[in-house]
Amino acid sequence: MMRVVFDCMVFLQAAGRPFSPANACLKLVYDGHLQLFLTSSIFAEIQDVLHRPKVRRSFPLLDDEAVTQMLNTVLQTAVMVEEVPERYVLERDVKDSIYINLAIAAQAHYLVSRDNDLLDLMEESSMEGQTFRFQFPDLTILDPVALLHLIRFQQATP
Amino acid sequence: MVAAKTTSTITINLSEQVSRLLAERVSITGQELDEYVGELIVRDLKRPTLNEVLRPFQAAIEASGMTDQEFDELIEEAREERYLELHGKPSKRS
Repeated sequence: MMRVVFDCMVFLQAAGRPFSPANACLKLVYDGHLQLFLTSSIFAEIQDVLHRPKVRRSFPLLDDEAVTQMLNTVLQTAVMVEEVPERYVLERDVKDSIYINLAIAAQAHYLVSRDNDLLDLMEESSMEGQTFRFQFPDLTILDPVALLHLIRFQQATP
Repeated sequence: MVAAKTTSTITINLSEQVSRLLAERVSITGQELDEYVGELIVRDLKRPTLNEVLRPFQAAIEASGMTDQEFDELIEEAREERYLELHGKPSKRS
């Protein structure tokens, strides 16, 4: 089974937008077609973001019950990884390093993100991208649409 | 008058490994194969879908009228704010 890691944005898009590509990816996890990995620090980040006053002011109908239910769903669908050694530091935005390190620790095939700082690591035209791909050849960083295309392609290929 | 009980028959192609595991499981539970598989299907059908579970959360997000871009920007700002509080410096290279 394909092993995947989602970044915080993909989690929240998936949970909040029922017709989004990210939601389709989370459905594949929920229905047992993909194995999703999570670590406590990423879960803490999602939890923290959803309790920030700025976020709550933007979503006045969002209450603790809906947030807890969403977080429980995330916990139930994901496999928790306890030990995530720091193997890589993303200099452009160090707060995104945890997703890469989790993907490496979980031996994930795909890290799903819409963040250009992460997606650019797949660029063979940059030195950073070349180095990353050389170091971690088994990890692909892609956005939710690309993951869905890839899965459909694999299903269509005998 | 008693209503007629109708059933339907399906054929499932299983790998050798799944067939073996299924046979093992059925022998443990002591059920008939069709009874066991039928229960699995019913259990799955009773389970709420992802979007049924997430409906209250989605309704709150939808009610804001926020675009995807605004949503992304808000979450990124909140993540950056958190990082700054935890580490005392911005996460992005200037």
